[in-house]
Amino acid sequence: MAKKDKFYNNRLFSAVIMIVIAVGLLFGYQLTRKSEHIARKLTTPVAIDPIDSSSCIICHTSEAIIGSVVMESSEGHGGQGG
Amino acid sequence: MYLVSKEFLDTAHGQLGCINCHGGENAQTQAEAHATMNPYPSADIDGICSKCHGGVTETFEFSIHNNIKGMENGLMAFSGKDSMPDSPAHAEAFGMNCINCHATCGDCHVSRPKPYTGGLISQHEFFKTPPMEETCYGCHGARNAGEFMGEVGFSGDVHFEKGMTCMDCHPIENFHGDGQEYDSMWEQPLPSCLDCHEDEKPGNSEIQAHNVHGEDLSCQVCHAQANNNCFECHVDYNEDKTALKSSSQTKLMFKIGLNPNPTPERPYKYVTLRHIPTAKDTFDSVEEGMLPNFDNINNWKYSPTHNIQKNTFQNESCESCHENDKLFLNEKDLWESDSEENKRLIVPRP
Repeated sequence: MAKKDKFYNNRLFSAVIMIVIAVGLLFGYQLTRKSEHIARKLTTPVAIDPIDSSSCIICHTSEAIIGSVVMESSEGHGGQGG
Repeated sequence: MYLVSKEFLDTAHGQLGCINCHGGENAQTQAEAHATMNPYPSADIDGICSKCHGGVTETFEFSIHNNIKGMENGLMAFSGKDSMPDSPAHAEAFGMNCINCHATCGDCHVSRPKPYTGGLISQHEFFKTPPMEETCYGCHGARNAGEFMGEVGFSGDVHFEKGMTCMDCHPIENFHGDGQEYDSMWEQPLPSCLDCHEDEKPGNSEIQAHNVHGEDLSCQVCHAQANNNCFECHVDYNEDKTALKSSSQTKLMFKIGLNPNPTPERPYKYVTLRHIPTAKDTFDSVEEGMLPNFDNINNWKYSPTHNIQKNTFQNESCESCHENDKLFLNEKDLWESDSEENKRLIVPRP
């Protein structure tokens, strides 16, 4: 009676393992590259803890309250630039 | 208006809370809440914007929009002085008038520029690409942006009519800077018509006039329309002497002159000109004789006028330009208050 191969001696299994390792390595490398990019360009938001501004929001989201505020007038060129 | 939409509160910026950017206190009364509030948080280039957008604020520090070096150096050139600290009067004129053209991140991305109307563009919404009619136009509306959009002069620019905006020609570096410090806007890489219209390069074009004139004329000489020119500009203090207001006479004109400053990028012999709002006595209300070098610097300047059309009155036929003396800057166009140096730009006519 022929001896049955252990599953880890199967060629298909080996191929799957090789692919998983290769994908893992590529994914890891990609992550490394991405973190370098973020550090250099600083264009992805960093963690800034929110500050409770609930009182500000009550007034500034109310048209009735803010509508009474007179806009500052400009003493400048008034759009006379080049 | 300083009304903030409820939708804004759900955005990345909105979730930070007002105080993270504007300071102040989360208090019940306006006086207490606003006591230490900063209405213009982006005025500090190393402030809150730089925490997330450091790559941009780093280059913006040297942007002409931020440091307005072109205006500073222009003022200094007319004054004949090397730098602003040499003269308190020039520093005052610059700080109370020229500085109005300084822009911050917020002046374009969330609010309208202060010299225009100020206020929020749209209830504190942040615009990745600012709407040009609310922002660029706010500062450049009397001339290039106004002409481009057809608000000043005759027809608008054909590119505007086709739906293009300032940002379609000007690269992002023209707004945010590229990290290099330039003495004026003319030193930085600027768009060229030939970037898109490659087929019209002199020598390659199917249009004979482009091959004949291309090396000598800027594109605007044939394709721009009349532009807005300012004369007799004078500044005066406001009532509480906190700012200098300027006033001038404006005239729509079309003048072709000799190129004041040929460069490898703009080597043309003939260009369209624009009279800038500067006279010898512009700043006399601050101190008399502030521009002693005035007559050595032309105040008719090279103008890449932004109201391009394929067909213009001057390119209708050879004669409409070649036999039309009125198009060319001549002695009669120069005002008594003009710089002597303008005479160098007069086109010799037979």
